[in-house]
Amino acid sequence: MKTSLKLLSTASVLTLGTGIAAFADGHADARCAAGELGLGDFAGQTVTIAGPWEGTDEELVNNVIDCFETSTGATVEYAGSGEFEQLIVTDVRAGSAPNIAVFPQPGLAADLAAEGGLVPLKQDIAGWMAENYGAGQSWADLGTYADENGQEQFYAFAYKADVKSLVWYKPETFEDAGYEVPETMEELIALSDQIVADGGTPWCLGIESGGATGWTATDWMEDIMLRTTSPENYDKWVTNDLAFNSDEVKAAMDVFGSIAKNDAYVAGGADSVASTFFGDSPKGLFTTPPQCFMHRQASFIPAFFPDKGEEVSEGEADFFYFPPFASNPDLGKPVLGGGTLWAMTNESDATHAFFEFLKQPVAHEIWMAQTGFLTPHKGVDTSAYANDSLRKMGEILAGADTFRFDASDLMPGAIGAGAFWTEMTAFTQGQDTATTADNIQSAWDAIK
Amino acid sequence: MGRKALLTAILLVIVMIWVVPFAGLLLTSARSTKHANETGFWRSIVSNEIGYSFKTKGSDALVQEGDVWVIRGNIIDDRNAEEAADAAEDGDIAQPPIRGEVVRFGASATNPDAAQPGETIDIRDGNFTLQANGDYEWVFDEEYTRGGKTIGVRINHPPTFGLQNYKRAFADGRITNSLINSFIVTIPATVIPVMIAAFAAYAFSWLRFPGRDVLLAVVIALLVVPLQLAFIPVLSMFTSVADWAGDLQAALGLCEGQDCDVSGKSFSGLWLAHTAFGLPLAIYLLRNYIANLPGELIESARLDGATHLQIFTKLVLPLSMPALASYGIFQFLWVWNDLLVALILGPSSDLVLPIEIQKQIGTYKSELERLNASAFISMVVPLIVFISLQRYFVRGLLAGSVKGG
Repeated sequence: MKTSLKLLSTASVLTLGTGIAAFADGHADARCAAGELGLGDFAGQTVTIAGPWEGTDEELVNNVIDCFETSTGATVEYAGSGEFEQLIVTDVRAGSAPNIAVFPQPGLAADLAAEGGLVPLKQDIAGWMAENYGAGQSWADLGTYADENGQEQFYAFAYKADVKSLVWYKPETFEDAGYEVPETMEELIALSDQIVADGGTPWCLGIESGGATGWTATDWMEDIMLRTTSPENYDKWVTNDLAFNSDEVKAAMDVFGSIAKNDAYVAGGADSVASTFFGDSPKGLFTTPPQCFMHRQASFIPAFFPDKGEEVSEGEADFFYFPPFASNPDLGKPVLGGGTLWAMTNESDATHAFFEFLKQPVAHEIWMAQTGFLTPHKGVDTSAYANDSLRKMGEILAGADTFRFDASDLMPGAIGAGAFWTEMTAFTQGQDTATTADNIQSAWDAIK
Repeated sequence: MGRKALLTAILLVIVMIWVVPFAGLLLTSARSTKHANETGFWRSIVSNEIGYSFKTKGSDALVQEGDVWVIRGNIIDDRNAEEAADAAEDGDIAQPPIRGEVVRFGASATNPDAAQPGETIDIRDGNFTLQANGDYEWVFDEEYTRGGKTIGVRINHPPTFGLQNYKRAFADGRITNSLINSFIVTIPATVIPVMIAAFAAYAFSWLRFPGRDVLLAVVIALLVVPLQLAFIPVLSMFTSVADWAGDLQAALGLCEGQDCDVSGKSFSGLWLAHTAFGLPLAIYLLRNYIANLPGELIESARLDGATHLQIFTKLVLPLSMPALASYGIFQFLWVWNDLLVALILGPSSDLVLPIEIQKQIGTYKSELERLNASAFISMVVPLIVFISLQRYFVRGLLAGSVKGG
């Protein structure tokens, strides 16, 4: 609450000079005025949306929705729930689905599409996305699933992205100790060794997350995969055309192990990795004295900082790009990310208009001016980002040589939300690389 | 004697199992976020040494005194003033101010243990002295041009409690709304099944009709039906009823250019669902009690010409109060604490308390300090209900256990 308000007021000051109408106090952009967006008049119609955002985030998405309401006269009801994944399945099967469902992962959307629970979007949106999004075709592919007859259709509109390849740190702590932000993975390892030599602990790493324990470790694995092998191999790995116990995957796992299994590298020792809540681990950056100097986590993590991310806007905390290996120069600067996918679960004219609305830059810029929102949309005015830190993340996303979606979200549920999580957890607890890789591969063989 | 001591010991352990988390929740909910993050609740009642990072003032606070330049301030007061100003600006509720004495400090957040209060250390070529009360003096030989510097400080903090988390929980009115919603859901969902079950229990006990025992067996067998299995069929039934209602409204022309959609998820759906799922146990419990009321009483009432309705209202109901009250407590607690049924069958805009509390901690479950306060609020209501009805509860637990009891 505190953070978002602060960001909002900053945003309105920043954007005044750039031709974007002030957006503050919930007053929508001038471009949202009735009829202004050319979406049509839907007065009296209601669009219901179910999604994963709650609490503060719910207010942020409602500000975007307000724009659509003002422009079209329609009423939009957003209902957020932490149990979104379970609720949407029940609702779709019971015939009480909302008009739009916002999926945090493509896997569930694909499952519902195969059941016939989703309504295909207008086909031209897929083409539009390929053209107007950075790494557009991969975003369009992300929303394309087989329907109940096995036919590929375009179902889900990617809106709101996360960048995962970030390492968080405190600039002043680095400055005090005389450390430089590393440009290559080799430098990052050297820096870690330097911190150990100076008597500190380089990394805060926690992968505990209740039933989803291990996902943080899978993100590490994916980021390292993109830095040790080609994007084509990454895609094959996602579909298991590259076996989990192949040398490429095991090499990436060894790199992760060299950090996560190193008692000197991680705060609390390697034993504590599996039992530390992922949201508590970044707090170690901010204790006095700090428990660690660096934390690799996605763009959403400032929500878990002690001041809920205010540290970032005040310059107390910052991030750098999780660097590539200098020894693999042809892999460029790969970026791992995620995003939410908006799909239609109940068709109506106003709902179709809402997807037209999501194509417009204003739908992106309103959330950009708040917090926690990145977009691969190339047509938006990046000065709308609420602060430099968000803009920097947006640029990492837009400037990626290679963008790949979180692999575990794309793998079948039994692997990506099952064996991959549990085996990586066992790996951090001391299980060796070969056993871990073999176990995941045999779990995959079992579901083929 | 030995047995009694053992019994007392076991009871004490059980009481501790319940009381310790309760006290932990209460204490944590009254602490500042920083304290709750850094030390356990059991340390909340003693002084704690807590590490802080403070930013000093920068060159804009520099004053020239003779041939030296000095920056002065008080790290604790400056921070408290800044926090209060931030909170006032954002309309937020401030954390309790920092109090206490500086125990040790150092030139960076990494090193808070370098010096004792009163000692002077070198920071950015200036002589920095920090006193126990937080006053500092930073003296330079040449003009200082940079901004403030973060220093690490350990402060010995006396126990501090405040209502800030409760104020925040109530600040936006959503908790208040959902408290009201919870009562709207819980009271009918308790009263309706108790009423129906009392009638049914009387019928199963004192009316003679063909198939009575089979019917009773069927009702009791329903106890084993898992709630979770029924969600999709029940919800799709509610949805089709709502669709008919929408179509009916449309046919009657009541919508006036509005959507005629009626949602299948409503309070009345919750009442129905809780009633249906609560009835088998209610009927079973109440029948055992009512069937064991003295037969002579009922017989003589009937001889005096009382109808079944008169016997039920004048005789059976007053006599069954303990059983009714104890089942009422069960049902109240179950509905009040229910998250699952409300989540799936309840309206998505008017939320009950458990859902609202769950939402308060945010998408990433990162605002636990809010959860502590609102969870405590939600615990208070069942506690009041239980304490005010507990004398019935103890009697009611024995309902039907003794023949004629």
